[in-house]
Amino acid sequence: MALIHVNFFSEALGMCASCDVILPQRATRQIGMAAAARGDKHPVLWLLHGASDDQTIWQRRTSIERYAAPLGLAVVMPAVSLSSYADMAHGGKYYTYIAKELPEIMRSMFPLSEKREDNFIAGLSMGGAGCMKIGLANPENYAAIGCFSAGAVNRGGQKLTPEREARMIMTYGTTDHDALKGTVEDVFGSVQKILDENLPRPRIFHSIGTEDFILESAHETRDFFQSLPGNPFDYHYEEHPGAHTWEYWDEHIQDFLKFIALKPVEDIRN
Amino acid sequence: MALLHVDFFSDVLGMCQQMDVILPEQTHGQIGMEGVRGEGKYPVLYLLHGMSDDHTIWQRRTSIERYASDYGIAVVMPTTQLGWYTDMHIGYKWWTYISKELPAICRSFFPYMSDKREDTFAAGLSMGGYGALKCGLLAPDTFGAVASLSGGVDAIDCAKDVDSESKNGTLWFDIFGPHDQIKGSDNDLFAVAERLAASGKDKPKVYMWCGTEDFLYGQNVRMRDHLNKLGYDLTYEESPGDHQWKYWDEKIQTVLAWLPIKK
Repeated sequence: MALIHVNFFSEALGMCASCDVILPQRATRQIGMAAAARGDKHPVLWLLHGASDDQTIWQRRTSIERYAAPLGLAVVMPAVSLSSYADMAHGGKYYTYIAKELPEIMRSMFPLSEKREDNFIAGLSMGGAGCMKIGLANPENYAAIGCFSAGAVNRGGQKLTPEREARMIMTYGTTDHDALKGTVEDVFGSVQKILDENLPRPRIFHSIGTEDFILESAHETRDFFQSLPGNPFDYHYEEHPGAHTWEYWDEHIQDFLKFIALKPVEDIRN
Repeated sequence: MALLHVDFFSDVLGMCQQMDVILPEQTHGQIGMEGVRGEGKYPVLYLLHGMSDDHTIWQRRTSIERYASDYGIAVVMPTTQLGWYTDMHIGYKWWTYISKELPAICRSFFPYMSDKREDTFAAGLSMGGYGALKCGLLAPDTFGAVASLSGGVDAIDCAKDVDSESKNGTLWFDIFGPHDQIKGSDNDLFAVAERLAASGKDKPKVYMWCGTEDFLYGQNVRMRDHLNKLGYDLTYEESPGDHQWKYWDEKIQTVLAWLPIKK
């Protein structure tokens, strides 16, 4: 695997952006790790950070490169500040950046598959809600979603502190979630649209620690998906001991990599 | 332009490597610079560092990204330690790495990087000038045009203190082996230039610049006369100056304008 730190310009944000990319590489002599690569274009995991973090954090807190290596899976890790992956009321167009612009830029640089079945999106906390929002508003682009330590909407159980209120105003222009109905921020609305219009349905993997402070939001999301007849999203919910910490994400991101069930690379070399 | 810091593994060297890569990017909202990204695949310049330096140095001492932005060209800046772009007598196989493995790796990472000879160039300063000229003369199927700035183009002269108790210790011996075995070898660019000229294969376009106060000036004059005698398409320039970045910052812009980049 190669690790690439990319600095480029985003038209959606109107400023320079940074992104870390793990790229499959066939290497035969590197110790301690199998490395694999498929044919000409790699499947991709779009991996999103949480509030407080940036494009480097998955590399620094987990062994994501080692987990992705035997799958021949590219991993793209962007940075979005505290934007909640939204086109902000007062700030940059981060939803447009992640959902629309970044895939085009990355595919113009690297051999990344544009096929739906090769594209996956996952994230933790703010990135967990972000990947649910982006994946379900663009269901034709992603085969599976991996939501960690978040609900589809992170609201239940969190008091509206002055700090949180200021962030909601900055992000959405309102503190009232119901005012966002019908927008891309309305994740359950996106689900209804997929069902009503018979759009492609990303598979959903949802995982959260039993001690996590966002558990109530996660339960709301779980109850919503489990109430859908026939489990149309192949929705898979897991709770394991743990809290809102990297020990949890380092362990359970590996569950998602199993869930996406990539065909193993046949010519893995050691 | 996009700037990429790449960490990867080299099977040839048997160890992790780094390179910095500038990729063409056409922007509209970025201030002071727009860049060019042409249709299809872009040409590439392998830009080589000198002794004492690494893959970061061209970024730090010049404005290479800004200079390259108008040309729609990618710039690959590898690091090769003190290896003189040579498969060392005792040490690493830097020549195989730079001339074979690195282009293959870059083309696998960046599918829009051209793999055509006429789109693939090398340039460098000092030791990197030697490396760039070597790329053109010894791997002419890969590199269509090469440029040497203040190049240490005469390995025999550069390595002449090999048997002395010099500050360099075993450095030159480790790179080139016994001094009397450099002549006529693949590391002797005078001999390599003769062999290529005699082979009838396509010869690279060559650009050379050296400062008239540079300690390598004499080597450059000899290489100029040698390449001219052999019928190379050589553009040679010299001007007052010594072995300093202020000249390379200026002359790399001349090199970019000289490169046969298809518009």
